[in-house]
Formats: sequence, structure tokens, C-alpha cells
Amino acid sequence: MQDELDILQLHIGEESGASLIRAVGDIDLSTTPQLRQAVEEVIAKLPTDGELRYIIIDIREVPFIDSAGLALLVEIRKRFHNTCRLAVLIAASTQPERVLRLGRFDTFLIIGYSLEELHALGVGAKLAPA
Amino acid sequence: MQQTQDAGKTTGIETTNEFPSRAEVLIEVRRMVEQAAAGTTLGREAIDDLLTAVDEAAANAIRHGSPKAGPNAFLRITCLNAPNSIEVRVRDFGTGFSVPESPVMPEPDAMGGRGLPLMVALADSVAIESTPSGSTVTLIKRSH
Repeated sequence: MQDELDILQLHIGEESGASLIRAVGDIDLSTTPQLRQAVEEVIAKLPTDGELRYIIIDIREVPFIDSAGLALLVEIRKRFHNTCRLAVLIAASTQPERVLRLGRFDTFLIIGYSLEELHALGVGAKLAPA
Repeated sequence: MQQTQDAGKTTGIETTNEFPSRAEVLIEVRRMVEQAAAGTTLGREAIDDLLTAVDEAAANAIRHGSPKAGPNAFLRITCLNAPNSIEVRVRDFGTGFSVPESPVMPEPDAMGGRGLPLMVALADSVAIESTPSGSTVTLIKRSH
């Protein structure tokens, strides 16, 4: 797919000891494989020193996420929970916020509106080995 | 694009497009519906709700309905908008599929089953017709 037709762009980085994947664009049935692959690559590169780490998926610039995207978040949370804790950054009054609330994901995932809020929740601080 | 008028109904504008039955078309379907909804009084949140519901219906058709229609399978999306509401029909031409999902939102740790609950939560009305010649999901969203 040509760059200008990319529905979803992913920017990978680090933020205060946590891995950060910033998504720009729609997360739907066609783009979830791309996001899954990025998460797998990030986690595969983590040091295997037994320390639990965080991965933050930033969807503040995602105007749309569907149930395939939501299922991927659940999959990531379940698959990597022993290696890496998942946190999600969302923006207020957006479609992703709406569907995450409808799915009651705030009871299952760490969700915040800013990096500061996630840090206050402990995201990024190193956890004691499991 | 054609303008149709039914006796006893509000004059509506109807648009119909066909899309190959692949996940990559979902964004085009959403754009089509967003454009049609722009001609109504639906606000941003209502339009987003509608787009989510339509996307779930179309994704269902792509995943479950259309594969039975073969490699040239397509979806037909029809938008019928009135000043204060819009009706979207998602038609596939597979052999029909049963809808085993409950309309109740599953637990957050569930791997799937959110499509129908999202449609029901976000559209004002959802009608599903499944026959051996395919299925039609009809969604209506009104401005409130």
C-alpha cells in the first residue's frame, strides 16, 4: 500500500521507561493486523530481565476504532500480561472513548487522558518482578 | 445518486454504492455514510455512533456473510436520508448467516461478540434479515 493511502500510521517510541505506540488514523478490521504486528515487535525487543514493563497505546489521534480494534486490545492485554502491562491513552469526546466506555473497558484496561495521568497511576514506574 | 419521493414519507435522498467484500473497503463505507449524514441535522456524536454501527454491520458481512458468495463477493450500501434521520442498509449476497450473538455487551475481557451489541447501543433501530440469498442489516439513526 502506498504511503499516502495508509489508513493507519504508527509511531513507536519510549516515554519514561514505558514503550509507546502512537497511532494516527483508523483502527478497524483492516488495520488491526498492522497494530498487532507493531505491538509484537515492541514486546519482542524488551529486555528479558524478568522486570514487568508497560506498553502505552496512544489512540488520542485515532478518530475511529471498531470491535476488531477493541478485540485486539483485549488480546494484547491477555497475551502479554505477564511481560508487559497495557495502558491506553484516549481523548475526550471521541468515538474511541465512546466505544471503550460502552464496552466497560475502563474496568479492564488502564485508561488515561494524558501521560501525566498515566504516570500518576504508576504507568512507567518499574514494577517488582512477578 | 437519485432522489426518490414516497407518498406519505419525507422526501429523501438515496445513494447506493457497491464495494468489494474486503476489510479495506470499510473506511470507504464509513466515508460514504458520513457524507450522506452530513445532509441531515445529525450532530457529530450521532454521526460517529452511526458510523460505528454501520462499520460493525459491514464487517460482519465481510467476515461471515460474503465469503459464501465467492471471490467476487460485494456489499451494497444504501443511504436514505431525511432532514432529521438517516437509514443505512448493508446488504451482502452470501447464503445468509445466523446471528448467534446476543445483543448484550459481553464482559470487557471477552475476545469478541461486540458487533451486534454496538449496533443495538448506537443505532435507534436495527433490523436484520437473513435469507439464503444474502442478508440485509437496516440501521436508522435520528437526531435528538
